[in-house]
Amino acid sequence: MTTHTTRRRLVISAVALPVLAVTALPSKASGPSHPDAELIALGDELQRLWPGYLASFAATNSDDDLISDAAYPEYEALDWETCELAEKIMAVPARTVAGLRVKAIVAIHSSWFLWDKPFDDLDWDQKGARALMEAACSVTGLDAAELAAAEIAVRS
Amino acid sequence: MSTQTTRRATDPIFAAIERVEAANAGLKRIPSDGRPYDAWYAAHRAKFDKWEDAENKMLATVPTTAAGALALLNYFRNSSPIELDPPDILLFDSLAAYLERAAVQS
Repeated sequence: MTTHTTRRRLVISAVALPVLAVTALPSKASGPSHPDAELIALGDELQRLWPGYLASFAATNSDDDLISDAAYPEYEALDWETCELAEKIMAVPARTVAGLRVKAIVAIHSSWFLWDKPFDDLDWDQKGARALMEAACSVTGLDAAELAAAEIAVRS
Repeated sequence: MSTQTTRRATDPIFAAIERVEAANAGLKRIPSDGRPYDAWYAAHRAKFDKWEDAENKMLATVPTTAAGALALLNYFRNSSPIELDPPDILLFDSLAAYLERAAVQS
Protein backbone atom coordinates (compact mmCIF):
# COMPACT_ATOMS: atom_id res chain seq x y z
CA MET A 1 0.00 0.00 0.00
CA THR A 2 1.34 3.45 -0.83
CA THR A 3 0.80 6.61 1.09
CA HIS A 4 -0.21 10.06 0.08
CA THR A 5 -0.17 13.21 2.14
CA THR A 6 -3.63 13.63 3.47
CA ARG A 7 -3.22 15.46 6.73
CA ARG A 8 -5.17 18.43 5.51
CA ARG A 9 -7.65 16.35 3.58
CA LEU A 10 -8.40 14.38 6.70
CA VAL A 11 -9.91 17.29 8.49
CA ILE A 12 -10.83 19.75 5.80
CA SER A 13 -13.13 17.20 4.34
CA ALA A 14 -14.49 16.20 7.70
CA VAL A 15 -17.35 18.63 7.33
CA ALA A 16 -20.35 16.95 8.77
CA LEU A 17 -21.40 18.42 12.04
CA PRO A 18 -24.93 17.08 11.71
CA VAL A 19 -23.55 13.67 10.97
CA LEU A 20 -21.13 13.77 13.84
CA ALA A 21 -23.90 14.85 16.15
CA VAL A 22 -26.23 12.11 14.99
CA THR A 23 -23.61 9.41 15.07
CA ALA A 24 -21.91 10.46 18.27
CA LEU A 25 -21.17 7.63 20.60
CA PRO A 26 -23.55 7.37 23.48
CA SER A 27 -21.88 8.89 26.51
CA LYS A 28 -23.17 6.09 28.70
CA ALA A 29 -21.06 3.67 26.72
CA SER A 30 -17.92 5.52 27.65
CA GLY A 31 -16.16 6.18 30.91
CA PRO A 32 -12.64 5.62 32.15
CA SER A 33 -13.09 1.87 32.43
CA HIS A 34 -14.25 1.42 28.84
CA PRO A 35 -11.60 -0.41 26.77
CA ASP A 36 -11.86 2.35 24.16
CA ALA A 37 -12.18 5.22 26.62
CA GLU A 38 -9.38 7.16 24.94
CA LEU A 39 -10.89 6.85 21.48
CA ILE A 40 -14.35 7.77 22.70
CA ALA A 41 -13.00 10.80 24.55
CA LEU A 42 -11.17 11.93 21.42
CA GLY A 43 -14.37 11.53 19.42
CA ASP A 44 -16.27 13.57 21.96
CA GLU A 45 -13.63 16.27 21.82
CA LEU A 46 -13.81 16.39 18.05
CA GLN A 47 -17.55 16.75 18.28
CA ARG A 48 -17.18 19.59 20.76
CA LEU A 49 -14.89 21.54 18.43
CA TRP A 50 -16.87 20.90 15.30
CA PRO A 51 -19.45 23.72 15.46
CA GLY A 52 -16.73 26.34 15.68
CA TYR A 53 -14.71 24.66 13.00
CA LEU A 54 -17.61 24.52 10.60
CA ALA A 55 -18.64 28.08 11.28
CA SER A 56 -15.13 29.37 10.65
CA PHE A 57 -14.83 27.17 7.59
CA ALA A 58 -17.99 28.67 6.14
CA ALA A 59 -16.85 32.17 7.01
CA THR A 60 -13.55 31.75 5.23
CA ASN A 61 -15.52 30.90 2.10
CA SER A 62 -17.56 34.07 2.31
CA ASP A 63 -17.69 36.27 -0.77
CA ASP A 64 -16.97 39.20 1.52
CA ASP A 65 -13.21 39.49 1.88
CA LEU A 66 -13.51 41.27 5.20
CA ILE A 67 -15.43 38.34 6.65
CA SER A 68 -13.24 35.67 5.17
CA ASP A 69 -10.02 37.41 6.19
CA ALA A 70 -11.26 37.96 9.72
CA ALA A 71 -12.34 34.34 10.07
CA TYR A 72 -9.15 32.82 8.81
CA PRO A 73 -7.06 32.85 12.02
CA GLU A 74 -9.76 31.04 13.97
CA TYR A 75 -10.33 28.62 11.14
CA GLU A 76 -6.63 27.84 10.90
CA ALA A 77 -6.37 27.21 14.63
CA LEU A 78 -9.39 24.92 14.64
CA ASP A 79 -8.19 23.21 11.50
CA TRP A 80 -4.96 22.23 13.25
CA GLU A 81 -6.70 21.24 16.43
CA THR A 82 -9.31 19.06 14.76
CA CYS A 83 -6.69 17.59 12.47
CA GLU A 84 -4.61 16.55 15.46
CA LEU A 85 -7.64 14.92 17.01
CA ALA A 86 -8.50 13.06 13.82
CA GLU A 87 -4.94 11.80 13.51
CA LYS A 88 -4.93 10.60 17.11
CA ILE A 89 -8.25 8.84 16.56
CA MET A 90 -6.87 6.97 13.59
CA ALA A 91 -3.64 6.08 15.42
CA VAL A 92 -5.16 4.69 18.62
CA PRO A 93 -6.04 1.00 18.29
CA ALA A 94 -9.72 0.15 18.58
CA ARG A 95 -10.57 -2.64 20.99
CA THR A 96 -14.32 -2.61 20.70
CA VAL A 97 -16.95 -1.86 18.12
CA ALA A 98 -17.49 1.51 19.84
CA GLY A 99 -13.89 2.48 19.16
CA LEU A 100 -14.02 1.22 15.63
CA ARG A 101 -17.12 3.31 15.12
CA VAL A 102 -15.26 6.50 16.04
CA LYS A 103 -12.62 5.64 13.44
CA ALA A 104 -15.17 4.81 10.78
CA ILE A 105 -16.84 8.20 11.22
CA VAL A 106 -13.53 10.01 10.79
CA ALA A 107 -12.69 7.87 7.76
CA ILE A 108 -15.97 8.73 6.06
CA HIS A 109 -15.46 12.39 6.84
CA SER A 110 -12.06 12.31 5.22
CA SER A 111 -13.20 10.42 2.13
CA TRP A 112 -16.75 11.65 1.57
CA PHE A 113 -15.89 12.34 -2.08
CA LEU A 114 -15.86 8.61 -2.77
CA TRP A 115 -19.65 8.77 -2.62
CA ASP A 116 -19.85 11.95 -4.68
CA LYS A 117 -19.69 10.13 -7.99
CA PRO A 118 -21.14 6.90 -9.37
CA PHE A 119 -19.40 3.79 -8.12
CA ASP A 120 -18.42 2.78 -11.66
CA ASP A 121 -16.54 6.05 -12.11
CA LEU A 122 -14.14 5.25 -9.27
CA ASP A 123 -10.83 3.55 -9.90
CA TRP A 124 -9.89 0.23 -8.31
CA ASP A 125 -8.23 1.72 -5.24
CA GLN A 126 -11.10 4.11 -4.64
CA LYS A 127 -13.60 1.31 -4.96
CA GLY A 128 -11.56 -0.73 -2.52
CA ALA A 129 -11.33 2.13 -0.02
CA ARG A 130 -15.06 2.71 -0.28
CA ALA A 131 -15.75 -0.99 0.20
CA LEU A 132 -13.49 -0.99 3.25
CA MET A 133 -15.30 1.95 4.80
CA GLU A 134 -18.69 0.48 4.06
CA ALA A 135 -17.59 -2.76 5.70
CA ALA A 136 -16.42 -0.83 8.78
CA CYS A 137 -19.71 1.06 8.88
CA SER A 138 -21.71 -2.13 8.47
CA VAL A 139 -19.88 -3.77 11.35
CA THR A 140 -20.38 -0.73 13.58
CA GLY A 141 -23.99 -0.04 12.67
CA LEU A 142 -23.36 3.10 10.63
CA ASP A 143 -24.75 3.98 7.24
CA ALA A 144 -21.77 5.01 5.11
CA ALA A 145 -23.85 6.45 2.29
CA GLU A 146 -25.89 8.50 4.72
CA LEU A 147 -22.79 9.83 6.44
CA ALA A 148 -21.21 10.72 3.13
CA ALA A 149 -24.40 12.31 1.81
CA ALA A 150 -24.46 14.66 4.76
CA GLU A 151 -20.84 15.58 4.04
CA ILE A 152 -21.57 16.20 0.39
CA ALA A 153 -24.54 18.40 1.26
CA VAL A 154 -22.38 20.62 3.45
CA ARG A 155 -19.45 20.72 1.09
CA SER A 156 -21.35 21.63 -2.06
CA MET B 1 -27.36 -25.77 9.16
CA SER B 2 -24.20 -24.70 10.98
CA THR B 3 -23.67 -21.18 12.24
CA GLN B 4 -20.98 -20.63 9.64
CA THR B 5 -23.22 -21.91 6.86
CA THR B 6 -26.00 -19.62 8.05
CA ARG B 7 -23.65 -16.63 8.02
CA ARG B 8 -22.57 -17.46 4.50
CA ALA B 9 -26.15 -17.80 3.40
CA THR B 10 -27.17 -14.46 4.87
CA ASP B 11 -24.14 -12.35 3.99
CA PRO B 12 -23.98 -11.70 0.24
CA ILE B 13 -20.27 -10.88 0.33
CA PHE B 14 -19.32 -14.55 0.54
CA ALA B 15 -21.08 -15.42 -2.72
CA ALA B 16 -19.65 -12.30 -4.33
CA ILE B 17 -16.11 -13.30 -3.35
CA GLU B 18 -16.66 -16.84 -4.55
CA ARG B 19 -17.80 -15.53 -7.95
CA VAL B 20 -14.60 -13.49 -8.22
CA GLU B 21 -12.46 -16.47 -7.31
CA ALA B 22 -14.28 -18.66 -9.82
CA ALA B 23 -13.85 -16.05 -12.55
CA ASN B 24 -10.18 -15.71 -11.65
CA ALA B 25 -9.70 -19.46 -11.86
CA GLY B 26 -11.35 -19.42 -15.28
CA LEU B 27 -8.96 -16.71 -16.37
CA LYS B 28 -5.95 -18.78 -15.35
CA ARG B 29 -7.22 -21.87 -17.17
CA ILE B 30 -7.07 -20.33 -20.63
CA PRO B 31 -4.55 -22.40 -22.61
CA SER B 32 -2.01 -20.63 -24.75
CA ASP B 33 -0.72 -23.70 -26.55
CA GLY B 34 -0.51 -23.19 -30.26
CA ARG B 35 -3.69 -21.23 -30.73
CA PRO B 36 -3.71 -18.20 -33.00
CA TYR B 37 -3.14 -15.04 -31.00
CA ASP B 38 -6.50 -13.54 -31.98
CA ALA B 39 -8.37 -16.57 -30.70
CA TRP B 40 -6.37 -16.61 -27.50
CA TYR B 41 -6.87 -12.88 -27.00
CA ALA B 42 -10.63 -13.10 -27.55
CA ALA B 43 -10.93 -15.90 -25.01
CA HIS B 44 -8.71 -14.08 -22.56
CA ARG B 45 -10.55 -10.81 -23.00
CA ALA B 46 -13.94 -12.40 -22.36
CA LYS B 47 -12.70 -14.16 -19.24
CA PHE B 48 -10.97 -11.00 -18.05
CA ASP B 49 -14.15 -8.97 -18.49
CA LYS B 50 -16.07 -11.58 -16.53
CA TRP B 51 -13.52 -11.46 -13.72
CA GLU B 52 -13.50 -7.67 -13.67
CA ASP B 53 -17.28 -7.54 -13.61
CA ALA B 54 -17.40 -10.02 -10.73
CA GLU B 55 -14.81 -8.02 -8.82
CA ASN B 56 -16.71 -4.77 -9.30
CA LYS B 57 -19.88 -6.42 -8.06
CA MET B 58 -17.99 -7.74 -5.05
CA LEU B 59 -16.71 -4.25 -4.22
CA ALA B 60 -20.24 -2.90 -4.44
CA THR B 61 -21.49 -5.56 -2.05
CA VAL B 62 -21.53 -4.42 1.57
CA PRO B 63 -20.78 -7.19 4.07
CA THR B 64 -23.56 -7.67 6.58
CA THR B 65 -21.59 -9.70 9.12
CA ALA B 66 -18.23 -9.39 10.83
CA ALA B 67 -17.18 -12.66 9.23
CA GLY B 68 -18.10 -11.26 5.82
CA ALA B 69 -16.16 -8.07 6.45
CA LEU B 70 -13.15 -10.15 7.43
CA ALA B 71 -13.50 -12.22 4.26
CA LEU B 72 -13.45 -9.02 2.20
CA LEU B 73 -10.38 -7.73 4.03
CA ASN B 74 -8.64 -11.02 3.46
CA TYR B 75 -9.45 -10.77 -0.22
CA PHE B 76 -7.67 -7.41 -0.32
CA ARG B 77 -4.77 -8.83 1.64
CA ASN B 78 -4.29 -12.03 -0.28
CA SER B 79 -5.61 -11.52 -3.78
CA SER B 80 -5.84 -7.94 -4.85
CA PRO B 81 -4.19 -5.26 -2.70
CA ILE B 82 -5.53 -1.73 -2.78
CA GLU B 83 -3.59 1.47 -2.34
CA LEU B 84 -4.94 3.46 0.58
CA ASP B 85 -4.27 6.86 2.05
CA PRO B 86 -2.77 6.83 5.57
CA PRO B 87 -6.05 7.34 7.46
CA ASP B 88 -7.63 4.54 5.47
CA ILE B 89 -4.66 2.24 6.10
CA LEU B 90 -5.16 2.80 9.82
CA LEU B 91 -8.86 2.05 9.45
CA PHE B 92 -8.00 -1.08 7.49
CA ASP B 93 -5.60 -2.22 10.21
CA SER B 94 -8.05 -1.42 12.99
CA LEU B 95 -10.89 -3.15 11.24
CA ALA B 96 -8.76 -6.20 10.53
CA ALA B 97 -7.52 -6.39 14.12
CA TYR B 98 -11.01 -6.02 15.49
CA LEU B 99 -12.51 -8.60 13.15
CA GLU B 100 -9.74 -11.07 13.83
CA ARG B 101 -10.25 -10.74 17.56
CA ALA B 102 -13.98 -11.18 17.06
CA ALA B 103 -13.37 -14.27 14.92
CA VAL B 104 -11.13 -15.80 17.58
CA GLN B 105 -13.68 -15.14 20.29
CA SER B 106 -16.66 -16.47 18.34
